[in-house]
Amino acid sequence: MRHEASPRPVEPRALHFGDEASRQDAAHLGMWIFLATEVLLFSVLFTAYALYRLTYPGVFQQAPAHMDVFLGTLNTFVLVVSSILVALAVDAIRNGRDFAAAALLALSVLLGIAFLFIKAAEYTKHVHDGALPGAWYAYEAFALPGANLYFTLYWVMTGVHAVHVLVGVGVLVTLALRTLAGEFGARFHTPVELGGMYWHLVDVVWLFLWPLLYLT
Amino acid sequence: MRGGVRVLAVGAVLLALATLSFGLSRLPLGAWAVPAALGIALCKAVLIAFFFMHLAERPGGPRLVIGTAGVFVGILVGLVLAEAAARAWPTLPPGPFPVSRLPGTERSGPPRAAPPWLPLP
Repeated sequence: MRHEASPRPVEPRALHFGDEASRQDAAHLGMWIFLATEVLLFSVLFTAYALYRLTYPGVFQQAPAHMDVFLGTLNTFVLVVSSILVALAVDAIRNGRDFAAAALLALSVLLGIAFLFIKAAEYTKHVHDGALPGAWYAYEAFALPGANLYFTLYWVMTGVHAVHVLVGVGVLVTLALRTLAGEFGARFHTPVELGGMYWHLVDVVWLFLWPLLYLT
Repeated sequence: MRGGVRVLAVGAVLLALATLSFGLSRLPLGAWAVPAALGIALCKAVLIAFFFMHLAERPGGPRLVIGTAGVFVGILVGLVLAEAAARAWPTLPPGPFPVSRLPGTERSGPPRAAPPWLPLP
């Protein structure tokens, strides 16, 4: 589905960027290339997880018993619902309902902040237990060879992900404010689509972290 | 409004799959637990990529880019696991030396502190 050419204030500098559809194609391709680098960043962390899970299968299987599975699962639903809201916001802006789009983006911002607060509550509990990364690991209730590796991976993987959530919240706030300012509408809304894609990627990464760290 | 209905339908499937993933984790699946959980996660990722990240509307370049990234992830994880699975046990971390300094196993007293940071000579 291509969108109609728009008279937004862009001077075509070259023939291949002559219409809005070509500009959207280029913007989306660029965003996908950026998202591919993000995928490769997280895949290195998942590879480390896979290697150490292969080395200590029993310990990694026991580890979810020391996690707050309720809070982890709650966070999954929080992120999935926020993703749905962002997708609805893109649909709203495409149909010219810019106030609805801004409201939906603001709601997803609230859910993103809720995710970070829930994560902080979990981190507080781990710090209290002494389940810290690396050489700081001092969790007496789970003192097996490999347990510290599980928690090191947990802190690094969820920490890098939480930084992405924080950045994503900033992106969504910016998009909501710019939408309210009337910068986006049915004819031009590429930044909303691209920012939304970043938020969905953050959601997808969590959908892989959650079963590996909390469920299996 | 058709787009909105589709978003809600995909969202409902995503929430159902997340619930299924949680439900399966309560069952004794044994060796199938991880493949089942990752399979469900992959289904969710494909749904999000196609319907929320607009891949369904954009054949060509974007699909090629993210597909290639997926293949590279497979090569990375696959080769690392294949190599690690073929190693002899004593070469795996923590190695042939005895496991030492684990909390609660051989010492009492306050929790172990991190070793002091020393600059390289």
